[in-house]
Amino acid sequence: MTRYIARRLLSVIPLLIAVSIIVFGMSKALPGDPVAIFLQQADIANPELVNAMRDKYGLNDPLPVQYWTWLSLMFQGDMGESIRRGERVSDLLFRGMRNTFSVATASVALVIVVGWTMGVLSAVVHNRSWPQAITRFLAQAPVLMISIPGFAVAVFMVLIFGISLGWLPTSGVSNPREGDDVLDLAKHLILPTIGLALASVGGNWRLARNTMIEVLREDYIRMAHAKGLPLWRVYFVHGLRTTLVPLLTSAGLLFGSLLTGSFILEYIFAWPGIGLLLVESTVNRDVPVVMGATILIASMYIFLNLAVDILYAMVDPRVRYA
Amino acid sequence: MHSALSLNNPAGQHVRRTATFLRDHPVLTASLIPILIIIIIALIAPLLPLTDPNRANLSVRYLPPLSEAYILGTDRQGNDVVHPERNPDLFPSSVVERYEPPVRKHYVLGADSLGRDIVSRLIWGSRVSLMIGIFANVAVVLISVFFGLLAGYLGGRVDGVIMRLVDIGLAFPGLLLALLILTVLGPSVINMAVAVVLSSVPLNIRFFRGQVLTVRNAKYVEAARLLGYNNLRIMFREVLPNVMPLVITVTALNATSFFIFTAGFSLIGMGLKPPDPDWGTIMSDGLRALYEAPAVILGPTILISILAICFNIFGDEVQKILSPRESQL
Amino acid sequence: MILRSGAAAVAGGVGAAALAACGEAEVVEKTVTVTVTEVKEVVKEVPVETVVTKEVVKEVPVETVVTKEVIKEVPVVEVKEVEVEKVVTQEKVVEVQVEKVVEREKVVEVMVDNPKADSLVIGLPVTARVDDLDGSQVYEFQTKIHAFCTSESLLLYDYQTQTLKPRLAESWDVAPDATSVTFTLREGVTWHNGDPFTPEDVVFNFNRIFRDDDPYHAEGTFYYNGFAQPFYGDTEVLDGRTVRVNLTQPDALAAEKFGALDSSYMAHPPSVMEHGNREYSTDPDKYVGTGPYIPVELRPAELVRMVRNENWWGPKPDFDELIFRLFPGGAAGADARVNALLAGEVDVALYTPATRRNDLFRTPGIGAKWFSNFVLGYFYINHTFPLFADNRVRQAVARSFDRVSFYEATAGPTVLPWGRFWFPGSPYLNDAAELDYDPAQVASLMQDAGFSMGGDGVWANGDMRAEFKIQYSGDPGAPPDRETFWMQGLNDQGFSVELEAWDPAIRADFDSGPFAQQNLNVGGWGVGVFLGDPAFAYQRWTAGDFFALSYMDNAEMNQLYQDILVEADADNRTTKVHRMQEIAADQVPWIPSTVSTLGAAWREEKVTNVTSGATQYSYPWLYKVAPV
Repeated sequence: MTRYIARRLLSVIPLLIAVSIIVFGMSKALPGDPVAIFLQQADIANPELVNAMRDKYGLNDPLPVQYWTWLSLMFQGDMGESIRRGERVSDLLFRGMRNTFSVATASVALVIVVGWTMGVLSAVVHNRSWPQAITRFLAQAPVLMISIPGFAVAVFMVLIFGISLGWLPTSGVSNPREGDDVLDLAKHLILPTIGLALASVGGNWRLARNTMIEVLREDYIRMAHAKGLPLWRVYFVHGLRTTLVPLLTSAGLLFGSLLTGSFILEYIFAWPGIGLLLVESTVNRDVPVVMGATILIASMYIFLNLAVDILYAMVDPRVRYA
Repeated sequence: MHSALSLNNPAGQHVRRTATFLRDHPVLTASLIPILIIIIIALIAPLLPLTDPNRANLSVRYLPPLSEAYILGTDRQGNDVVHPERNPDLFPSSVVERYEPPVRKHYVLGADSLGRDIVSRLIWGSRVSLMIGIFANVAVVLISVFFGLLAGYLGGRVDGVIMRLVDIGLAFPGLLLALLILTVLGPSVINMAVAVVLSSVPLNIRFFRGQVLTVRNAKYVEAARLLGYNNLRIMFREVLPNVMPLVITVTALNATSFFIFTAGFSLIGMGLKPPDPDWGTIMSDGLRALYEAPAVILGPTILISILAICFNIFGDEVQKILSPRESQL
Repeated sequence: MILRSGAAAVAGGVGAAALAACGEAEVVEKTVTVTVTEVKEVVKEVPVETVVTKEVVKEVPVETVVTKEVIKEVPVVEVKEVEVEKVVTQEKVVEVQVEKVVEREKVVEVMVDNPKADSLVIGLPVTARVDDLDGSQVYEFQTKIHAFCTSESLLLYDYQTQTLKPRLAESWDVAPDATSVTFTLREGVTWHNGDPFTPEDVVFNFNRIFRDDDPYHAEGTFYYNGFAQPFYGDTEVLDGRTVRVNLTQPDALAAEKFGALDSSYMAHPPSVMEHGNREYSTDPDKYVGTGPYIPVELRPAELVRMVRNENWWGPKPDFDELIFRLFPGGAAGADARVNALLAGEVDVALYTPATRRNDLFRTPGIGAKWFSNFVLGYFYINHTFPLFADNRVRQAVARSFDRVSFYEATAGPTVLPWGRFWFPGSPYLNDAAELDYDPAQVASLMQDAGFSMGGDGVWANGDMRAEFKIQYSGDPGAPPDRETFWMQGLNDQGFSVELEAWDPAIRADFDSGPFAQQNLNVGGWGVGVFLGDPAFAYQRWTAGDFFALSYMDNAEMNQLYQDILVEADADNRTTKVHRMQEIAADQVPWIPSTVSTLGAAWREEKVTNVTSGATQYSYPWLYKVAPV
């Protein structure tokens, strides 16, 4: 096991280097001189000033030098300063990550609570003589959830629950008039979470249902039935344990992809997360932020994948030798 | 083999077979119909009596669905001047040549924030969106099946190289890669398709590789190997046909996300630019005109949902037909 | 006004006219503001009064519909006696209206129907550095607004009236040779911590802002400073209330540049020295300013909370607590801000997208204010140039440009040039005078300056020659397609604004010689800021080309807009556009920087669109508009 983990960890290093080169290359390929764009927006077009600013941000050095400077600074935890905001990139990323983390966690929780429960429930119902309408609904509802664009649902939720009914806040992470407590954050989380998690709830519902149905056909389940164990024990102890493995993998990957921020949902809810930060800085050609955010997202995703793989290997020894 | 088959079977027999097949699988047929209708309407859009989807007319902006307006005449540039009321006192000054009596014009789904006909925009928009959707899908499937096959079947160094590249691609999750590509290349129909394809190819390669791996050691592949067939032949004649059914499932999954991709990019101002609208652009327009004309955002949303549902059901059905064990689900 | 004409008509015995005039209750309502004072005077003038009034009131039960009924009862024959009655009844009606209007005006000032408690939440986009409390370190226009509630400059440039207003300085005086500017500071100004605001503080700040080598140089502002830095020599304290800024070269705009520049805001010297610029500006506990509000809490990307400064030198600030809720910049935040406004989460939303205007209009208690101004371009006059050394010539140039004709020829009949010229605070321009097109004035100014007109239409004075002409060679009857006109600028439409030096030798100086780098120097005037054709503006607006600003009851504006769309008569349309312009001019008074922010945004947007002709060649030595 230790050897497996060590091998996987080592394999990450070239990956990270490749990713950093791609990120750096992309940032150089971005059209438009970031400094010129910035100064133009400030209504100034002075070549000397542009040059001075380029010097300040090291944009006049040869590319390999720039790459090396960037990389070594990054290892010291210095991702530079945002050209547009003048803040440290690491501060911006930390702030964005914190906000994205809360909504990603809430979404995964929703997926587990609703998606898995409904999936397992509909699998259990599948084999019983329940009315056709209910089993049909339980089988087809997730298809609907996957198919309707989540952000369209989010928009209508803002309209109905936020503006018309006034039950829930429409945007942002806090209400300045109501203090900064957990309850306030929870209220702000509800709509973005639903919008973000809708499709994943559907997907996990379907996955849980299909896996559980498969599992329930296995011989050891028949055996458990034959032994005369109570139904709930057969389903939720014997059946669920096996079902959970693929579900956990899926949740882990989902969490990884949610952590990288969904810019559409963050856009609609003005949620100051990492996705929105990335989009804004891309549009504004705020290169240090784009680079920082991309490399952070990519390496986070790599390590999350790694963690999922290792966990998987722990559960299923066959993987280790594959 | 295939050519021999078709020689023996005249075209009529094919049609009859297909018809029988469709009759035997009503759910599959039902899920195909909406998809075909949408595609056909998109194809014949130039033949339909639609107004220019980009023709703005401020006097009918936010016209509610099922209403009608009047073309009062033409303005200096020769464009129609449309007005919601048939009141001669309300003649806009821009009318140069008057129509007597004014011509009626129907707005089935109303007009958007610039007074453009929503129906016309939806239909014209479906051409662009479907084109991107179809081309992107085809490209994704071709690329990922090919490389999945290579990596999965050949294994070894080929597998190593391909999968390392895939790993790099996978490190940029979701729309991140598409966002970067689009920023570098700039928004256009082709670039959008490229961005979408490149960002979804790695995951698909990995998926197909996995499938190939399961087939690779099957008895019939081993048999083919013993018969001395070369690798290419085995890959494309034996392995590929057994992976193909999954393509439909993958296509179904990809179909929705492509439209949502384009909508998302339109929303942040990196979407496709006029002249012709696409569903994504219309959706992001609709987002901003939500109160005045919900039809604007509802139109593409419903169409995308219908397409996605149909694709999903279609994919499920195909899988059921191909693997009887699954069909008990 | 209606009242007066109605009364006059009755006095003249023309009953029918009176009927017609009085029948229009709406018209009365629209003009009340004007008539309020007049009404009271009428009461005094009329000697017959009280008894009559009571009778009339008894006769008439309903207030608003009054007029018609009364007039019906009164036979037209008894002209003279009726007159008194008429006036009194009318007065009644008007009084009712007046109350209404006054109420509405209150709403306008507060801008939200019902600000919760005594706090106001403002939805603000952050596109740049989000956490600056110090105005001298702000990066960008949008983020200035909260910084400008905590810190202040010496003067305030009011973009609305385009005049300089006193702020921390009570008065200012640019030396006649424009080599220095003297500011007289306001008395009794204190910093938030109670320290008095002194001339030494100004010296510290000016050095800090305009000198790169200053140990506390405010870095965030270097490109705004670029406008003023080359002119900055030093600052000296003249006495306990006066400071003088000495310039390195003459600058007619010294008062604006040093007093009201977007970055010349005053920071508390001891605090800056103790904590350094960054901490001082980002930590509410360490921040000390002079502004009307004191920051108490700052959560980056979330909010800035500030409370009223009870010791502020100005009138008592409106709110106990002022909260800026920070939204993302760009379209994302804009939609979210409107949602938050509609849901009541914020009281004011700055920069709302055009497409959501109707949402705002139809929600009770929320009004939208519509700004639709374009800035076409600016011309700056280099007054160190021999010809322009004489202010009379500059004034002549300013008056020589027929903006109305220019716009009508190029952009259609509903376009009006707005207001005065840019930077009127210059001592060489007369603040009070409207610098409209006035050929007679041009002639007399030029003659005063010693020029005489030759037969070729060229003014000459020794070596100096100048010609004023605006050429429009397109077909004035067929204006260009306005959309492309604005999108692509003048050049693509077959126009070019060409600025030519008269003497080829001097022209070379402009291109590569000593004047080549001086295009942003001194003195100047704007070609115009104007209210666009509403339909066109609306279209551009919905396309997201420029901003709108929310809040304020704007039903009339909306109605006018609807009317203009179908108004066939050009004159009526122009009148209505004028009225819209008036409404637009009635801007938000309480955050002055809002106005300047918008001005800046337009400038930013539009100047870049109108291409080279207007902005790159900035010396209107001679100019003509000619086809490419």
